[in-house]
Amino acid sequence: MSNKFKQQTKWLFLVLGLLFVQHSFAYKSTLTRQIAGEDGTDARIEEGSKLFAANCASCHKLKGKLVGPGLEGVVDKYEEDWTWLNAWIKNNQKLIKSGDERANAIYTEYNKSAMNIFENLSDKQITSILMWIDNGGDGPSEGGGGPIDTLEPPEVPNSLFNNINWAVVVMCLLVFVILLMLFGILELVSNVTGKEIINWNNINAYMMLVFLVGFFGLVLYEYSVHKDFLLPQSASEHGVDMDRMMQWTFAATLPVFFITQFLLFFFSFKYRQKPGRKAYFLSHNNNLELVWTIIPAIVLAILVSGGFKMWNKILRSDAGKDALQIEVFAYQFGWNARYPGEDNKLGKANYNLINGVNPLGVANREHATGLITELEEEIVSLNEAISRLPQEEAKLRSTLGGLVGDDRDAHLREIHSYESGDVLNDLKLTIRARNTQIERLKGALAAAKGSMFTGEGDDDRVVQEIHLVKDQPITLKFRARDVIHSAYLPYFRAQMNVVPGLPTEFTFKPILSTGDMREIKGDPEFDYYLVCNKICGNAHFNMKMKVVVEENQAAYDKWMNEQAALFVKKEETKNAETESTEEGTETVASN
Amino acid sequence: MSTAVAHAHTDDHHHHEESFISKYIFSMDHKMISKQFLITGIIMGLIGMGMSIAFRLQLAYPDTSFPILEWLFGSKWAPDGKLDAGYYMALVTMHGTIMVFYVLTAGLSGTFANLLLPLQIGARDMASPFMNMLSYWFFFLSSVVLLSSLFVETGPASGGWTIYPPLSALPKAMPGSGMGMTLWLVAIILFIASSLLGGINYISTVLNMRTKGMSMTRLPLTVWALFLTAVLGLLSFPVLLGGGLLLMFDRGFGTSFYLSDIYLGSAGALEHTGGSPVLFQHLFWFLGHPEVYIIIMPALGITSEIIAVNSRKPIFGYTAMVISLLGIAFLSFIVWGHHMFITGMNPLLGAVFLVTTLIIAVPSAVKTFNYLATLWRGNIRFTNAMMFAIGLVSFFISGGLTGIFLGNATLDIQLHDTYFVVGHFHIVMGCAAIFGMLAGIYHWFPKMFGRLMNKPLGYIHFWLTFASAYLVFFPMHFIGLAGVPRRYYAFTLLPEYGQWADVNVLMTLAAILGGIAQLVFIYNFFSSIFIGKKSTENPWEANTLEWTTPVERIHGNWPGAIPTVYRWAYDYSNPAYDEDFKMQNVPDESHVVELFETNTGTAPSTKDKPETETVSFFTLIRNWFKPRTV
Repeated sequence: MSNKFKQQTKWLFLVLGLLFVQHSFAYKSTLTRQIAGEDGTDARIEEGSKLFAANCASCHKLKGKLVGPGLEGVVDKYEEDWTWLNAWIKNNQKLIKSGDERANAIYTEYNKSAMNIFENLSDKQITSILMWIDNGGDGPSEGGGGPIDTLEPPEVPNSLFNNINWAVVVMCLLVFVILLMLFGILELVSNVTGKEIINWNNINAYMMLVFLVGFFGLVLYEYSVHKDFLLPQSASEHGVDMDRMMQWTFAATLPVFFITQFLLFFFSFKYRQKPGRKAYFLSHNNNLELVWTIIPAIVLAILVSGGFKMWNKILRSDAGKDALQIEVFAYQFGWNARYPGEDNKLGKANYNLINGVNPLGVANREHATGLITELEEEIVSLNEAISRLPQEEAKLRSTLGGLVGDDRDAHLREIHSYESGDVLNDLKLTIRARNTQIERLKGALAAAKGSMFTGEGDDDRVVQEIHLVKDQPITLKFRARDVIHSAYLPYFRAQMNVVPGLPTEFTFKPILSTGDMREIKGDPEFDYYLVCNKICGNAHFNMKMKVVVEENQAAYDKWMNEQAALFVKKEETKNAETESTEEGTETVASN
Repeated sequence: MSTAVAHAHTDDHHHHEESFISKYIFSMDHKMISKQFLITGIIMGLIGMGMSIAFRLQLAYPDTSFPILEWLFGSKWAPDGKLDAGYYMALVTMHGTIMVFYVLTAGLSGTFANLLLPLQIGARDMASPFMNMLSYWFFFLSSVVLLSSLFVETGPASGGWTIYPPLSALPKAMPGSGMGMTLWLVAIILFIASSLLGGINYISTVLNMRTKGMSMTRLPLTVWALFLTAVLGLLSFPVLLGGGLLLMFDRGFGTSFYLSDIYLGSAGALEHTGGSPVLFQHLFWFLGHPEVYIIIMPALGITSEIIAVNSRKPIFGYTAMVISLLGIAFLSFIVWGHHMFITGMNPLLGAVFLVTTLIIAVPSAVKTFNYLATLWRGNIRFTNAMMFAIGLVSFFISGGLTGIFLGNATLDIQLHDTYFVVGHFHIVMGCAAIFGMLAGIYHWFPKMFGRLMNKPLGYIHFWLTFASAYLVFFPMHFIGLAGVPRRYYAFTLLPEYGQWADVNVLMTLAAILGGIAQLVFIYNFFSSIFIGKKSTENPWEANTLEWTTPVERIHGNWPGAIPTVYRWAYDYSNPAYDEDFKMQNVPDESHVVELFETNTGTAPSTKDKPETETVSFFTLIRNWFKPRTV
């Protein structure tokens, strides 16, 4: 490949990137070797970068462990064994169940935390990812791994934690012992003289005042430091009202906070014990108590009615009935979105239809038929695995000799899982689940009435970014693949749990475009994100999707036209080569 | 009622020579059981706190290697001295579980209900001492099972202490949902058994075994609080038991109570169909919310007693205090949905729970103002216990007010599951309840061990703990208002999280300081058991009956007859008497007939206007609390 062509492609990608994608890196291949028999090009590395960010980055970075291992050097490690690595990436569970030793060793090393299946990735795509990894990721400074490593870690006082300074520890202990002795001596003296040497009561009373001043001082100081970060500018219509309610609640609670805390510490100080004084006997005062029952009740009633009204307005009104409906789909560990195509209708979807090429399980008759064949093949291979079990067990036993320590224990545990029938049971259960799935799919295909295979989903677009239009209401319809997630959009003051088996939704109207917010924040790099806010597994902290609010309908349409429909003939998508890296844009026909 | 029977019964046993095992291990003496609960609770508390420091290190210094973590957790969970992401989740989960159930429920209620109920109502022991012993040993067993999950191959439960399915129901969803989760469920089921055995006992003891003259209106507020806590536990824990059992069925027997429409990345489409994950959340929070009050009410009861004793004043508005406890106890059963505003529950329900939730702020406010009124014009003795009680009130105010934000469903859309929530509940139920527990320990230590704790060390402990607790949890509100989610292993997801890096360091350093302060307490506690200054019978000059028992802490509590009660527990600085205080068992000729009058403070000073007795709501309530005849 000529250098000139490389330069051209680089420029082409730069221009394309600037036009269509918010963030784009121009990659310069420095690869000196072939990967899986292919040459690394800038374009392939660019593709790999995107694929990595979409599929791998929630669990892996290049340097160091995240949820899974760091991937730097993975190319060196498996240089001789591309087929195995490919099989592992595509379906690690199949490999593990087949009794592959290396696969089982990795599975055990990572505490049986199961890696997702990536049968949606083609061989070519996997190779692209490996090229990007081998090329050093996004550059030497960042250590690679897309969204990770963007932060400067705070300075660590090394001496404090890493090398415990025994002299300091001994000194602290000495000070403690000296204090103890001092208190002991004082106590002895006061026992002899009958007088208290230190008036602890007064000391603590004054400390109460000191604390009060320090407490209020720090609260105000922290507010002065962080006030700009709190409740960032609301980018949705209802968010503005919500912020006003927040301010009212602050107005109601802050005075109470300052007054009652002041009274608490001030009374403690003022009414400290003094010789010769007797406390004022006051057991109750009904009027007073009524006052401080009724006033909070009134204030709370006001807050309740405000909150009640606004809650109904946000979540129970029909205002957003005509809003554009898109689907937001959550899985361990990432997000997808689905837009309706020209028919403006989202096709029906079902979890039984999910597979590599159809990650959201959108209903399509051809795909479902193909899936049934796929599942039947899997059952055959699972049955084969069952018939191989005795051999596997024998092999494990024969390799036991010579192992010591932890390795031997792990090996013995593995043999035990064969002996106890756990492995067999697991395989049988999987077969049963596949059979059930086939039955359900066949039932759905045969259903005459209310069939989900309406064809409405064929032109849906599955994407990995949400694009919205400024000032146009949008309804996000949520669906989860595996466990509960929560879609949190802090700038839009929107949040809703994403629950498997339970459809949820949230309607809002964005009022500030991404560009507007960049201006407001003075940060040209700023982007809105949807993040996960319900504990969903080990990579929960690393699960986000970019949200772009377009300035106008035209910009939105432009973006939309670049997105390929889910189920169309292959010839049509070939034109949209630049976006073919998006998950799920591959056609069913290609399978 | 059964007091006479119990009396005769315990008298029989009272002179037995006891072996080591029957005295210290399988003891049926409520005072020994309370010590067992306390010491187990303290140990669990140290473990829970240690875990929190470990994961705070990760949050403040995500890229630093701490050899100590590798030493503690092994190279499997902290390779190169950096916490594994899954183990971070496990530590968060275990920290929550240990603190909520093992320290603040069993450690707090178990200790003080066992110690104080018989002593303060004038009973020789609990209604069923054997059940009481079982209660402790179920708790002990449960602790062992929970801690053992730290050592299983796939690690302890790590789906958060709320263990929401499907994450907790599917062993393949995350490593912690395997064996660790099974052990968690077994531990909690044992814990519930312990809690129910204890609760039934506390309730029957308070209802049946009060001494002569101890009407419900004369109960110290500690007893009221512990009694209502037991009622809450008895009504709500079985619901969690049911929920947990159904979860076990879903995990092991292929049922689908909580599971439907699931495709797991590592296992494909599952067969489960028809269940609802939200059902579990309803069952969980039906316990979970009363649980918050199970934790805080004993602490409030302890505080009421300690503030009254050390201000040398009657607690202000005894009746209002009791009514607000009753109000809180009742309302706590109809507010659980505020944990679920945005879980996909019907928004109409959200609106209902919004209303009930904010109503519960009213009785809480009444309690706070009454504490302030009790301090007003008092003669305050800053004992160690009093310091912690004042600290509790401060936390209760700070944390209660942020509850008004979170209880408002509209604002919860933004604040749900952010650090604002973490700050809120750590202050209002974490710190406040721990302070109540510490106050109780300092106050009743002489009753447990016959010695006093070291006072200056107690002050050092208090100030370090108080300051560090605010330093850890107050900044969390700011972080939460900026929209930073909780339960994140590292703040790398969005660049804007980086602006909190220095605050995270501050919070971690404060947490370490707080940890060191607890070491001072541990030293003080265990050394005072052996070398503390000998206590007198009534070191704080308090009125309640436990201070009439001898320092030697005999089986059966009182060497002679059980004392008779002639007055309420709060006759401090009553101008009718020369003494500063009148104990409950001191007869008073002028009030023999009209027992109840002493409650309302019949002898006000000249400044105090005589009260006009209209038939008010309060009078009606008062009549309802008919005193017992002597």
